[in-house]
Parts: sequence; structure tokens; C-alpha cells
Amino acid sequence: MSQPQVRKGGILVALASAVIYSGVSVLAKFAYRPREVRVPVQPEPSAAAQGALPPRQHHPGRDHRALELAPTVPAQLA
Amino acid sequence: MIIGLLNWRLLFPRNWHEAGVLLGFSAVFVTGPTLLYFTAVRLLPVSTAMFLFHCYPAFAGLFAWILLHERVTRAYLASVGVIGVGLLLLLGVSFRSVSGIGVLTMLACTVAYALYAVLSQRVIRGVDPRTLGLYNQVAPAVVLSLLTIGQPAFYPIVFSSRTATLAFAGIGLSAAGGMFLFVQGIAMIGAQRAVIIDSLEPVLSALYALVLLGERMTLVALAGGLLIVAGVVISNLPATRRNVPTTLPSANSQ
Repeated sequence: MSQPQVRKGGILVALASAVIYSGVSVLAKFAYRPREVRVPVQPEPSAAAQGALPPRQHHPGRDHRALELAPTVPAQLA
Repeated sequence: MIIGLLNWRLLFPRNWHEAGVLLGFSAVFVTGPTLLYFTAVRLLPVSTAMFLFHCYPAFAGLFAWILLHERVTRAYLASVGVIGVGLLLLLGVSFRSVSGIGVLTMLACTVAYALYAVLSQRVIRGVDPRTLGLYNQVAPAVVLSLLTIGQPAFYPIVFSSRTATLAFAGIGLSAAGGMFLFVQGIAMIGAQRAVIIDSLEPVLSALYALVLLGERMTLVALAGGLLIVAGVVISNLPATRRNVPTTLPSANSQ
């Protein structure tokens, strides 16, 4: 391939790199979104339930759905 | 994998010492900025984060002067001035509305990345840039795997929704594909030209963020961002006869 062709190809390749790579940060925002939005919906605890189980806390990186699906075994029986 | 299929010899350094240096260098100077980058992106609007990140040539010139004793040109000083004004405009107008921790995190990422850019010039002497590109992907993967030992291999958040799965797949493809093409571009047209073209990135990110996330920048902030891009372009313009003799004394001569 001649030098001008290589240069033209290189410019196109670098442009393609910029077009593709600039999407990373936007996609990262998308990836963060569901995690930030999906706050587990907690029903108002009844007076009897208060104190029996510790309140759920938000642990970054943990799947809250898994926690919700887990069998609710009272702490003292576990 | 594509590099390996095209020319497998590029995947291997010339000796074990070189492999160790490339792995260690990538493990520290790619993993660190990457973690800081994604933390900052979470805290800041995409456009602000990306324009901030692209201030790195200002720090890279400073490190090149201190560590490599490269001469500081007037073009570099002009670019630092333009980038500085751009930063003031970008952050000044929205200083109260953006996360201070996010700004500091992205600036730390910028400094770390600038250090990477400068030191890589020394590390890759005689090494094909595609080999470094490969190690830049492998070393952080190894480090992050070690850091997350005990966690599920497929992190639940990746599959928490279809959007999240697609977003993570897109991040992987964009990051790996973008890096691969950038390294190929450097090999074809040289780093200086490739970096100038690369400075389109924050502009494109701001555009994507506007279209996909509905993030709007004020005109003043956008002007600041564009000044940062202009600063990057100025510092990477090829030296002409006119500005060669106007170089300032290097750190060596002090």
C-alpha cells in the first residue's frame, strides 16, 4: 500500500477508534442506572416485626433481588 | 484475539524481563486510572467527565519535562493556558451542581493517565505498540480478577436487566475495539496525529450523552469543553520551523 493510502487508512482507523471509544462512558452511565434506580421496595415494617430482623441496607454490588428471594429465616433460627 | 490472528508474534515480548515490565506497568498504570475513571463517570455528567479527562496532555507535558527532561515548547504552554481557561469555563458554570469528589477523582485519573502516557514512552522503546496494547488489556484483567476473588465470576449486576447486560457487553466491545483501533492508528499514522484525532472523543461523548441520556450542557460549559479540545490539538500540532527555536530550557539545563 502506498504512503498516502496508509495515511488515509490510519486516519479512518483513528476516527473509528474515537467514535467507538467515546461510547464507553455513556454505556457506563447506562450500566449504573438500573443499579441506582432499583432500590428495593420495602413495605412499612409492622411494629411486631421491628427489631426482629435488622433493616436491609444498601450494599453496593450486591444483588438485592437475590436477598429478596432468599428464604426469610429468622436470625435466631439460622 | 484479532491481533493474535493477524500476527501472533506481536503478542509476545522479546524476553521475560520485558514481559514482566509490560505486565507490571500495565497492572499499575492502566488499572488505577481505569478504576478512577469509572468511579468519576458514575459521579459526574458524562460530558463534564470526558472533557475533564482530556486535560491529561497538560499534565503529560509537565511530567515529560520533569521525568524525561523533554523541552517545554511555547505550543505546550499555549495549550496549557487554553486548557486552563477551558477548565474554568467548564467547571465554573456548574461548580455547585457537580460532585466535588467526582471532579477530584477524575483529576486524579487524569494525572495518573498522564503519568502512564509519559512513562509508556520509556517502557515501549523497541516494543510494538500492539504488544503494549495487548498487555494493557491483560494486566488489568488479572489484577481485577485477583481483587474480586470470592465474588461471583459473573457479577449479578451484569444480568440484573437486559439494559445492564447490553450496556456491559457494549462497554467491553467499545473499550477493547476502541483500544485496538487506536493502537492500529498509532502504528499507521503516528501517535501525534492519532492523539489529535482522539481529541474528538469528548465532543462525541457529549453528543451521545445528549442523544441517549438527555444530558444538556450550558453554552459556556460547552465552550469550555471545546477550548480543552483546542488545547489538546495545539499541543499536538507538528512542530514548524517557526516554533522550533522558541523552545524553553529543559529541566536538564537548570
